[in-house]
Amino acid sequence: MNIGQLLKEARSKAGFTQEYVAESINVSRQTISNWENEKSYPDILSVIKLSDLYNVSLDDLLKGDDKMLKHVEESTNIIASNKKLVLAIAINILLITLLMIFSKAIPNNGIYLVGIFSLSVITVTFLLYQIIKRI
Amino acid sequence: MGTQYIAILLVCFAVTLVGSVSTAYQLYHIVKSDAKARALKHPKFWGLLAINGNNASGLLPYLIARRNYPIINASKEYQTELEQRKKRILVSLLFTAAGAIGMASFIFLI
Repeated sequence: MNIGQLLKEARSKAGFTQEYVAESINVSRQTISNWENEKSYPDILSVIKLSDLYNVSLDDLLKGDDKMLKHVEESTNIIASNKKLVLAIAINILLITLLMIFSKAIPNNGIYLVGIFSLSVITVTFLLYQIIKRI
Repeated sequence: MGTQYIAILLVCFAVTLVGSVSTAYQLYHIVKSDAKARALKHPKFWGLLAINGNNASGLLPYLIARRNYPIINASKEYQTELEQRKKRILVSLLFTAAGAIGMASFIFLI
């Protein structure tokens, strides 16, 4: 059984409304709904609070769903995530530096230049958003 | 043809400008709320610092400074606001990128 169904079942068994659960663990009612409908996954702290609230074993909540396990692994592995971001930024700086050094070799072709510019804009936008997501 | 060219260029410029201003506005509020939640002094200052500079050069000092300040006032409203503003900032960044690419296309191709 996946975590969304488990959470819904546990909440029904305990006789709580989504609003009550949301108040108890300090999130919005929409967030509880998203978790139960599997539009998103709860973070590890919320899972611990829900396990206490519903009186359900943490093992049952975490281990029953492979996607949930993967989400927990990705969200707690901050060091690996930051390393990937630093690597992406370094590659981006290297590419831009190389383009500047070899700019004489680039043909004076408008489509080519627009392509390079577009690629730079897209990568910088992506990196900036990744940094902002970490706030 | 010349007038149409200028009009489309102005539209692309406007899209870029709106996107940039919206990005800065959302980022200011995200950083201000985050600084308040971490009980950092002068949250508005950190917000203004974050929007300064290119490519997150103002944001990085804030991310370094806040390392020793864990979140202590994380209300439900703070988390909801943070999620909403991050979605809005993504849309704003896409607007900025689209406008910039549009302008470059017209300048280099026409």
